[in-house]
Amino acid sequence: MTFKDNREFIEALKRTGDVVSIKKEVDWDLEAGAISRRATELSGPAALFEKIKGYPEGYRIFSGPLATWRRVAIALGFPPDTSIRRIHDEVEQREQKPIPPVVVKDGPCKENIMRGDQVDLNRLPAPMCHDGDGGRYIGTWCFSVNKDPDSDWTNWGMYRFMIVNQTTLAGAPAPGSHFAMIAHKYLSQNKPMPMALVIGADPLSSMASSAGYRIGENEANYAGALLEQPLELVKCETSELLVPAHSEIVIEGEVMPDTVAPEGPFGEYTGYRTSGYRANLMFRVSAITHRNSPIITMSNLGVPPDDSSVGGAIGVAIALKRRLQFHGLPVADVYVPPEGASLVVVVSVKSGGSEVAKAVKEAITKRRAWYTKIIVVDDDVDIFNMAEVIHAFAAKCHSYRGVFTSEEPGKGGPVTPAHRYDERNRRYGAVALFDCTWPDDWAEEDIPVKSSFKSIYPKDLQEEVLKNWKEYGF
Amino acid sequence: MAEYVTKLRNLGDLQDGANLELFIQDLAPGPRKYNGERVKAIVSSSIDNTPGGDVLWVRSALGRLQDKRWGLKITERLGVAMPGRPYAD
Repeated sequence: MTFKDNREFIEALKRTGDVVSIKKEVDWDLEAGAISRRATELSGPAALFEKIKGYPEGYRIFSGPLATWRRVAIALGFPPDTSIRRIHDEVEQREQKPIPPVVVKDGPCKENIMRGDQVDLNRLPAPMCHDGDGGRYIGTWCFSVNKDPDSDWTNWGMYRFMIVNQTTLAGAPAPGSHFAMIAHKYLSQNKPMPMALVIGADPLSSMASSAGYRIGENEANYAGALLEQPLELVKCETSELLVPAHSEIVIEGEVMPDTVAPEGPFGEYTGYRTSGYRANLMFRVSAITHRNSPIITMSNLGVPPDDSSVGGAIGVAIALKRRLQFHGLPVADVYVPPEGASLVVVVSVKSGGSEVAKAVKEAITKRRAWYTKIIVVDDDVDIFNMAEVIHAFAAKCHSYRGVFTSEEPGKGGPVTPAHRYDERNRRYGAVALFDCTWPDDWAEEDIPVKSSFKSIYPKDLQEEVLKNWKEYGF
Repeated sequence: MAEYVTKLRNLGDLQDGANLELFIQDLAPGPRKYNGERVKAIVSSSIDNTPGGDVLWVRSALGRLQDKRWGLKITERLGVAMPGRPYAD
């Protein structure tokens, strides 16, 4: 069973002990962020802050919705202890069956409407997440909705948005993003771009928005695929954009073509605050709609794991796998491990060698070089088990012949901590490939024999040992 | 006396008596805390030398808080929007 909104999801998390409801009053100014950060770093339960200082009874913050594999499994309708591999396999299978949304006339997100002079972002308990951030980030686990003016493509993307004042947000959608592709069509003609910011959609819609879905295809269809049923969308009050009807909060407005607003810095998914204060997109708000007793979702990013590196990384891994398959590469699995803070990607291949590994790197960095370390392993390695990956890296990556580096000017990520400040600003990219596959020109007799339980004992003995495991006293 | 915070890319811009264009954020407790606006203001290294002025806390571009507080005398309020094109900075 999947969930039509965050409220059903929270109830499910309560049943499994995967959320803590905090009744004690908590300050939106750093305290909620500090609690959330610690809980996230401990891979602990999500937090539902039920009493926010200075805000009406019932106004809540829900932090860390998909920051553990348990919560991702629950969101998908699985038992909490479902394996990472099973979760990836399931998302990959569902992704292949997109389900278009249905448009409804009304929805819970319309229970309260602020328009014109009534618009006041400060009426919502947006958190000040980290000490020294640029401001209150109402958008941390949220998604933008913008529509291509030349087609039916409506893009969803997960980007941070900061409150500048009562009626203005500033946001940081990346220059090479699908959001920016569409935005340039408006802004280059000096036209404002209609946009909606969705906060607190159901967990799988949020997950779909953070995936690298195909250019020109609607994430709403992907959300339907993950939900295994059509997502209900409702029209915005001040534009033709469609948004999930069961969202907690929808902020409507326009991105301005000729003005910008100060934004940042923000403690980002890499675990560091790396991109400085800058003039960024200015989003002028025309309406705010929200449910009664609205719940802001917060992903207090930082040192992993968190929502970005767990729930957000699955869709990215699957998109990368599709790309490698498209290039005809013998890919078995792709994993973006939380420990790697979305800077490391691990790929297993059915047949390796340096040429295959280099082709993997080439395909992954074709458009963007945000993954600065690419590890390619043979498919006898369970890439969802980082202990196995590190072992392959240590034992099989030749320290001279197995490491390939390249500079990727203009393709780099804006928040890569290892890059100098000026490099981050000009999107300098650099990528290192670690080839942990056996060279394809080695004779079979020369390939070391792996000494693991699964590989070095006869199959029937393995089965016997497993059968008697408890009897041995383990 | 109100208190504000600003972020500076170049901390060296902060010179005693300089008339600067700044983005300042209100630090008064309450729901409007951290709301911001662009202003022109004269900054002073001594709060005592800013009669009728306010207090300015300073952070670096990456958000590191500087030890020293400055005096601030707002001379012009410029609103929020800055002329410029998205993705140009």
